[in-house]
Amino acid sequence: MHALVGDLRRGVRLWWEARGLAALALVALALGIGAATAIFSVVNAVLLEPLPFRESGQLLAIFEKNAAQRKSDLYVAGINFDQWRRRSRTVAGMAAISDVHAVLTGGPNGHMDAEELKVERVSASLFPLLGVQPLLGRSFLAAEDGPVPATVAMIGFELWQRRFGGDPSIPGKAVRLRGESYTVVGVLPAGFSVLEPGVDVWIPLNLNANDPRQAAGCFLTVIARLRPGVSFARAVAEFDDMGSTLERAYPAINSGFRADIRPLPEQIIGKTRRPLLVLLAAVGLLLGMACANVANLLLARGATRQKEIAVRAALGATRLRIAAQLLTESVILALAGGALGVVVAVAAVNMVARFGPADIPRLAQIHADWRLLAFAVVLSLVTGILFGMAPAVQISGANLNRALLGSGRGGTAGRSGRALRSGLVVLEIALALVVLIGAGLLARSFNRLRAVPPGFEPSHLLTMRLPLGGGSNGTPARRIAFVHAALPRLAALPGVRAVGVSNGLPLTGLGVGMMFAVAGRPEPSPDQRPMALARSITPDYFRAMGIPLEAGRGFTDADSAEAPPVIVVDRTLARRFWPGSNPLGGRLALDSVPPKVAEIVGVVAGVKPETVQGEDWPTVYSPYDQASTSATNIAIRTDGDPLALASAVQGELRRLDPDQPVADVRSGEAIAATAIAGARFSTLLFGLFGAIAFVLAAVGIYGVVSYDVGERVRELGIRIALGAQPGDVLSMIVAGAARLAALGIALGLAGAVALTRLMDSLLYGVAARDFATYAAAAAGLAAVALVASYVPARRAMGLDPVRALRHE
Amino acid sequence: MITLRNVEKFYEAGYGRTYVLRRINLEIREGEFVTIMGPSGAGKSTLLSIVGMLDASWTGEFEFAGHQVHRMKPKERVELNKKYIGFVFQSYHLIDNLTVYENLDIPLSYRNVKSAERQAIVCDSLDRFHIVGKRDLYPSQLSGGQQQLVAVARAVIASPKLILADEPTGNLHSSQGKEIMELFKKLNDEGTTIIQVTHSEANAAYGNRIVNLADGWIV
Repeated sequence: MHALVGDLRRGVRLWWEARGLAALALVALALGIGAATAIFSVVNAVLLEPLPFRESGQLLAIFEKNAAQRKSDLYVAGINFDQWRRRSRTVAGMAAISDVHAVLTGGPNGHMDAEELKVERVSASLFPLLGVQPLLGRSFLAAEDGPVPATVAMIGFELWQRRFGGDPSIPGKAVRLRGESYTVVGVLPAGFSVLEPGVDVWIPLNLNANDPRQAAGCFLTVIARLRPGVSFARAVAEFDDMGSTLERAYPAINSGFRADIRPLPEQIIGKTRRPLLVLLAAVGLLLGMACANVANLLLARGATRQKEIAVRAALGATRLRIAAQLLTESVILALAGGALGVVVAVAAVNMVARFGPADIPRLAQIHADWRLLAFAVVLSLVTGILFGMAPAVQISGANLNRALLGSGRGGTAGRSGRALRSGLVVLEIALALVVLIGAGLLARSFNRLRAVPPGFEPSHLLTMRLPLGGGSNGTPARRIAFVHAALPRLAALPGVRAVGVSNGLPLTGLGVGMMFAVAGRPEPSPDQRPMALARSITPDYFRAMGIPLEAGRGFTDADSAEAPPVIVVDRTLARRFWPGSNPLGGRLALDSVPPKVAEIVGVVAGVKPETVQGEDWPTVYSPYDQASTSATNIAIRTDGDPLALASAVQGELRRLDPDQPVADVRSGEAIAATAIAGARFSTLLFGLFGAIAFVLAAVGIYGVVSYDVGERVRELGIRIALGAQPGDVLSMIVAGAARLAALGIALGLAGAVALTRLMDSLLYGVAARDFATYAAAAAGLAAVALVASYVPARRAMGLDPVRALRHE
Repeated sequence: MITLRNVEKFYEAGYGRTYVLRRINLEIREGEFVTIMGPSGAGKSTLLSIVGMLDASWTGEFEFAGHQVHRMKPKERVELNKKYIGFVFQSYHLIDNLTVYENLDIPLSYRNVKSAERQAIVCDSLDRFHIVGKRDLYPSQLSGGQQQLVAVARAVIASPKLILADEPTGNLHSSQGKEIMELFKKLNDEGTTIIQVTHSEANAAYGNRIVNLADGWIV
C-alpha cells in the first residue's frame, strides 16, 4: 500500500514534469473518447435501441407505390386500407393514420390563446397494435372510431404539460379544437410518436369507406403487425396479390398502384442509418488515431527512460516492481484522459441533441451512453497500460547492460522501437486521410447543394402558415373571405412590396398532388396518368416569392371562382408535355374535386418542392379562388429585413381575427437553410473531425520526428563533423518524415477508396472518388506532415556538433 | 598550413569569464604529425574542435591553407572542413544503423561525389584497410579495434590533407592501438598532416612534435 501511494505520488510528479507530453496525450484521449462516445450515443439511441413499441420488429409501415411512375411512399387510399384490413391473413392488426392540423382555442377553464397543433387522426386499434398504454385515462374505444365522428381526443405529454399544467384530472375534461368541443380521454407517455414527431393531439379516424370521397382519397399511412411466425416476404407477397385483386375491383383508384410495405423501424430510421454509420466510422478512425498517438508518445517517453529503469533494475528492483511503477504512471494518464473524455462526450451529446437537424428521428432520446463511455475509457486504459509498460517489457536481463551503457559502443542510438513508432504514425496519417477525404467530399457536396437555385428568391422574403382548417375560418367561403380581407391590409403595411398566398411553399414538402391529362390528346391508361403538384395561389404570389414568369400571364383578380378555370404551369410540366412548342392556350384535364378542364395562361420557372437535391416535379398553379385549400401560407416580399416585419404582419392578422393563429413564421433564407440543415450538420461534424484528425496527425508526426531528432543527436553531430551542411540535416529529417507521410497517404488513399463508397448516398454533385478532393486532402496532410517535421528539423540544423558528439 | 594567433575560448559565467583556451599561438606545417598532450581539462579537445572547424565560438585569428577562417561564415567553414579535414574520435562515432560500407560512404555523400565514383572509392578503401569482409556488418557486430579501423578509413576516404584524431586509441587495448598508430604513421608518411590528442607517451612518439597544454595555455 505504501509502495502504491509512493508510486502514485511519483507518477503525478513525473507527469507534471512532462506536462507538455501529458497535455498532448490528454487532448488526444479526450477528443478521441469524447467524439466516439458522443456519436455512438446518437447511433445507439437512434438506430440500436428498439422502438418504444411492443415487439417493434414485427410492425410494418404500409404506403402505396406506382412502379411505372417510379413513385413510392404515397398515401394509401381509404378503400385500400379498408380492403386490406378485411382480407389480410398475414397481419394480426392494422391501423391507419392521417396527419391534419387543428387549432386549439379552449381548455377546461374556457378560452385559451389560439394555437395550431399537429393532430393525427388514428384508428382506435393503433394504440393496442403498438402496445402503448396511455399515461392517464384510456385509449379510444372501437365504438368511437365508427363512421360517425366522435369528439374525443388523446393528448401528448408535452401539450399536457405546456398548455394544461400537467393537470392529472384532465381525462374527462373538454378542450376546444377545430371549433368544436372534444373530451380528453387520455394522455400519452412523454416522447410518444409513430412516424411524425411533434404530434400533440390524436383523434379517431372515423373512416367511412362507403363515402366515395374518403374511399378514393389518398390520405392514410398504415401501420400493421405481422402475425407471429409470418415472414415479411410472405406479407409482401400477400399484399401484392391483394393489389392485383383491388386493381381489378377499383381500376380508377388502383391502376398501377401496389402496397409499398416495409418494417416500421426501417421506415423511421432507414434514411438516417447511412449518415450515422458513416459518422460512427469517422469517429472510430479518430479514436484509433488518438490511441496511436498516445501509444507513440508513451513509447517515446519509455525509450528515454530505459536507462533510468535499467539503473533501478541494477540497484535491485524486480521487474514486477518496475512494472508496477510504470503501470501506475500509465493508469494515472489514462484515467485523466478518460475523465476529460467523459466531459467532452457529455458536452458533445448535449450539443447534438440540441443542435442536431430535426430530421434525425428520436433526437430527444439521445443521452450519453455510459456503457459505451465505460468501453472507451477501458480502451484508453488498455492503450495507456500497454504502451506505458513498453519500457519494462523492453528491459530484459539480456539488454540491461546495453541500456546502462547508453546506446552501445558505436555512438549513435539504435533502431529499437523506431519501427513501431513509425508504423503508428503511418497508421495515424492513413486514418487522418480517410477522415479528411470524407470531410472534403461532404464539404464539396454541401457547396454544390448551396449553389443549387431553389427556384425562388429567399432574401427579403417573409413566410408564415395560416392554419385556416378547423377554426372559425374553416369553410371554403370563410377562408376565401379571410384571405381577401387579409391581403390588402398586409400589402398596405410599410415595407411590404408584394403579398401572396399558396397552399404549399417551396422546400417544405410535396404537399398535395393530383393526376391530370392533356385535354385533346389520347387519354393515357389510368396507371400512366401523370401526376403534378397542385398549388393554389393568389395573384401576387409569384412576385412575392420571386418566381420568374417565363411566358403568358400570372393570375389576376378577374380569375375568380366564377371565371373560366385557368392555370399556370411550371417549366418542367411545359417541357415534358409541350416539348419545343408553346403550352399557352393548352388545356389540362385535372382530377381535382370536382374534376375540371383548365386553360394554361402562363408558364413559370420550376421550384424545388421538397429538397434542394430532389427532382423537379411538374406543378400546376390554380387561382386561390378557384381551388382554395385549408393549407394556407402567406409569402411577403419586403424592402428590408423580413423578420422585422413579422410582428406587424401578425398584429394585422390578429386585428382581423383574434382567434386565427399564425404558425411557422420564417424568413425565406431560413427555409432555404433548413432544406440543407442535415447536410450542413454532417459537413460541420465531419469538418470538426477533419480538424481533429489534422491536429492528431500533426501531433503524431511532430512527436515522432522530435523524438527521433533527440535520439539521433550524436549521429547528427557525426554527420555534421563529416561535412553535412544544415541543409543536408534538414533534408534528411524532413525526407524521413516525408517517407512516413507518403506511406500513410498511400494507405489512406486505398482506405478512402474502400470506405468512401459508404458515403455515395450522402453526396450531391460529387463522386465518392472525386480526384480533386482526394488530391487536396493528400496534399494538405503532406503539408502538415512536412511542417510538423520541419520544426524539430530546424532544431537539428542548429545542433552544436561538439556538444552533440559528447551527447549521451 | 595552420596558423593560430591569440586564439581564446571562454564561457561567460555569472562571476566573469571561464577560459578554456588562452592566447594560443601555434603554427603547424603541411606534413607534420603533431601531438597535443596535457592533463584532463587542459583544452586539448577544444583546440582540436577549433582547428577542425566544429567550434565557431572563439576569438583570435586562424589561418588555414591560406584561408582566413576567423573571417569566414559558418557555411564556408563547413566547406573548408569538407575539403581538407578528416576526423577520428575516441569513441569511433560510427553510425549504428548503417553498415560499414554505408558509414564509409557518408563523407563522400556530402561532397557531391557521383554514385559510381563513390562506389569505387569505398571499395578501394575497404580493400586498403583490409575490411572487405566486414562491409555489410553493422558497427555493433565489430570489435572496438575493427570499429576504429573503420573510423580511420572513413576519416581518410575523402583524401583529406589533415587528419584530426581525438584520443584515437583511448578505447582500444595496446595491440589494437599500435595497429591504428602504425596506420597514422603510414598516412603521415604518404603526406597527410596529422594532429592527435593523446595521453599516451607511446602514441606521441609516432609524431614529430608535441604541443603541451595546461589550463588552456600552451606550456
